[in-house]
Amino acid sequence: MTVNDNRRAPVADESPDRENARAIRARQRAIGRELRRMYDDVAQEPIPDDFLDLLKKIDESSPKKAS
Amino acid sequence: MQSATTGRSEAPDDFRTELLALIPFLRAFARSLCGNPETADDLAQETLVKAWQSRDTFIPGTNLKAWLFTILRNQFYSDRRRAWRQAPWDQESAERIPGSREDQNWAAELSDTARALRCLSDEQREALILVGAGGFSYEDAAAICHCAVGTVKSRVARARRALINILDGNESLQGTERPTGGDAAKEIMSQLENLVPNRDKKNGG
Repeated sequence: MTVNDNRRAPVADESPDRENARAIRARQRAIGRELRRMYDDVAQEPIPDDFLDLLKKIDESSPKKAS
Repeated sequence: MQSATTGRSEAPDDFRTELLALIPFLRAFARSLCGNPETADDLAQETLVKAWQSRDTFIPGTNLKAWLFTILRNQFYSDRRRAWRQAPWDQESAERIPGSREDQNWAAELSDTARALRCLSDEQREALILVGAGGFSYEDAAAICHCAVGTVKSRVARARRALINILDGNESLQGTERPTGGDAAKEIMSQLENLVPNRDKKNGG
């Protein structure tokens, strides 16, 4: 990457800790995106027929009191 | 819109419609708890039945999603306790125990992050998923997991650090995967050894 930002000049002994913390935050964001992607992938799948059948069945089997 | 009857079956159709809308999230949460897609869908279906049976205890206006997730989580742990009480040398149940070949097959298809997730403790995994992927507040996640808000916060923080360590290879991915599965396998092996005494050696010798 080009360094045209003087404040971020890669001085080796400047602040490895801060550099490190920034890297960790970036990793955590990436992991967070990956977790959401995994979760959303499942959540966006069409509902399997098994579930719709089940819901229908329990709905029908529930006692309905005549009004 | 408002039924004249009281709480019970006030609006069963609404409840059913809302259940239907939340099925995708139940499946997603179940998948993250179980890993195995088939076990997860079984769990999500059990949850639906339980939720329907106890729909009278749901307080309208409160968070139905969190209520369902609580049921699912309770079911997950109670199913697992029951699995542990089953005779471990029963071949059929042995095949369903995490760490078996069937589970390894789907595990091989998971991304590194997904596999790393399997290495976390149950508490850390569920907290991270609820907050980090499910979009629950720390408060709702705490209610779902039956623990204090601060506990959820620290579990999420520890889970995030642990994931990075695992992904960086500081902790073994394969070695720590499914610790209960490993124990289960060992347990089965020792049970098998007990079941098969030295008779074979004598006969075959």
